[in-house]
Amino acid sequence: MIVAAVLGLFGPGLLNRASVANADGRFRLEYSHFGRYRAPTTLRLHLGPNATSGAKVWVWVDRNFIEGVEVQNISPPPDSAELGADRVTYVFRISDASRPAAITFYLEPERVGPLSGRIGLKSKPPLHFEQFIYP
Amino acid sequence: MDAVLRAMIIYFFLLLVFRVAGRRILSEVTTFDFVLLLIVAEATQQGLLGDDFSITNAFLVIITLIGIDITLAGLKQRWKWFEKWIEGVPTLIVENGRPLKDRMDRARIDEQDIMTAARKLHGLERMGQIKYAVLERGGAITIIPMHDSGAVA
Repeated sequence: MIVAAVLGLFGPGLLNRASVANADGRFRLEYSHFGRYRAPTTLRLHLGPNATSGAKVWVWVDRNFIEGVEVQNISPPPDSAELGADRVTYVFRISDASRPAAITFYLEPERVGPLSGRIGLKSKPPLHFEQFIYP
Repeated sequence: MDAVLRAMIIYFFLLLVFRVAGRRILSEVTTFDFVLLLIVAEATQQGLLGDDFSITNAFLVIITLIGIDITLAGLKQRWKWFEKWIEGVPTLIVENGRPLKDRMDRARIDEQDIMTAARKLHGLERMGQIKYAVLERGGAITIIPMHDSGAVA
């Protein structure tokens, strides 16, 4: 059990970090396979060069996921947030879209058990990820 | 991993601190020692759990602490030198009524401590009535009275 914990099967550990990227690799999400109830965890979104065009980037997260966690902080802070029927869209200002950038969501899970989410950029197919939250 | 690592670090840190502090430190718990123990526990708790208050984290910390304890107990049985290093050995501090000053100083024990144990355990009145006094591993002082001291054993 201790070995499993060190490996990260119960939360933070060697095998716990996961990442998923879109087809052209310009947009990648780093997340944890396993989280713990009310313990800090992060979602880090890497935007490759030219992942977006223009001075703003729209990142949306599906509502089912957002309702299962408490968003403690977003770094950098979004310019604004827009509420949709099934998603929350965060708008970030970006100074140079030709350079890579990263956005980090600091979260605390509020539900125990499997938690699945989708995150996407405007007009791009979303990334799907699955987490399991221990009590 | 963090829970296991934290628990291991705290365990070995406390082991080291209490080994350096000596066996006597909490062997007889005065009111102040008790308060000190609570403060140590309070300070340790933060380091052990961090900002993760989930049940899973608590379970992992408990399992790790007990796991280390069982492992060390096994190692102590296998290697006597290891047991000596972890727990020390019983130390003779009075021999035939004569206090062994250098050993007492090292263990930070004075004659009053020995006489307290002698009075409590055997109702002895003088150092001369003690054949042997031994500082045990747990920090307690045990007394073997002289046979002709007339004390009730």
